[in-house]
Amino acid sequence: MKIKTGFEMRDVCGEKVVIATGLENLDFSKMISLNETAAYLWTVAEQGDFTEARLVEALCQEYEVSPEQAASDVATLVKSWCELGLVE
Amino acid sequence: MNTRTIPNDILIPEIKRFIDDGHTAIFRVRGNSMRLFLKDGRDKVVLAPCHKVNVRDVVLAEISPGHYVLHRIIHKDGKQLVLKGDGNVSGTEQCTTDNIVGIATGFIRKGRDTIDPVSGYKWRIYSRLWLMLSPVRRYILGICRRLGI
Repeated sequence: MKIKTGFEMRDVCGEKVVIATGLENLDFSKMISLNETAAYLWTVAEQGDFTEARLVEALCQEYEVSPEQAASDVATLVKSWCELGLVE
Repeated sequence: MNTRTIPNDILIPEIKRFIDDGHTAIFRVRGNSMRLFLKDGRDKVVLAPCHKVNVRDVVLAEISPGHYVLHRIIHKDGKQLVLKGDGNVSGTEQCTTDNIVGIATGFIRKGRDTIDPVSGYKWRIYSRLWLMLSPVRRYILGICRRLGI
């Protein structure tokens, strides 16, 4: 999996949000906001091709979380990224 | 999907930065000072960099440090502007063209996906009519409020 070209994370209004770069128009009423953990995983994911296992590993390294919990959180996050069309 | 409200003092400088880069920005309106056309929390505005303004244009302007309004220009004298919200019966704001953050180029109303451009007939007719009805605005707004429009 990888993050689709054209999406990047930015600080907008003090929040980490994903926006389509190079976009002429920014809709401030519709932004994808990432919490701290999701923002961290985004930085891991945007390094290139990634797998859920890679994100789980990164999550366990950075945060004190059980592998099971990490796997479940990553699965939920990746599912929502897929639904939003951010990854391919 | 969660809705989060961002305070104006954070949101507007961010919008300004984006517009100063030459982009357009869409944001949701707050307050009812642009009734009838724009309703609090429901409608959105498309804001673009402003190069030239005329009476009847709607602009987002900083009327005093840190205080912004999205109102209509009702009078223009060189760089001096007088603004007034469509939904306000009295009360105007003074500012100059330098205080303008951006100019409204369209509105997205009633949860639709389409933009009503300010160049469209709907907005142009509404604008002329509304300014013409200025003397009786108070009554029209009152009736509409009672009818829940």
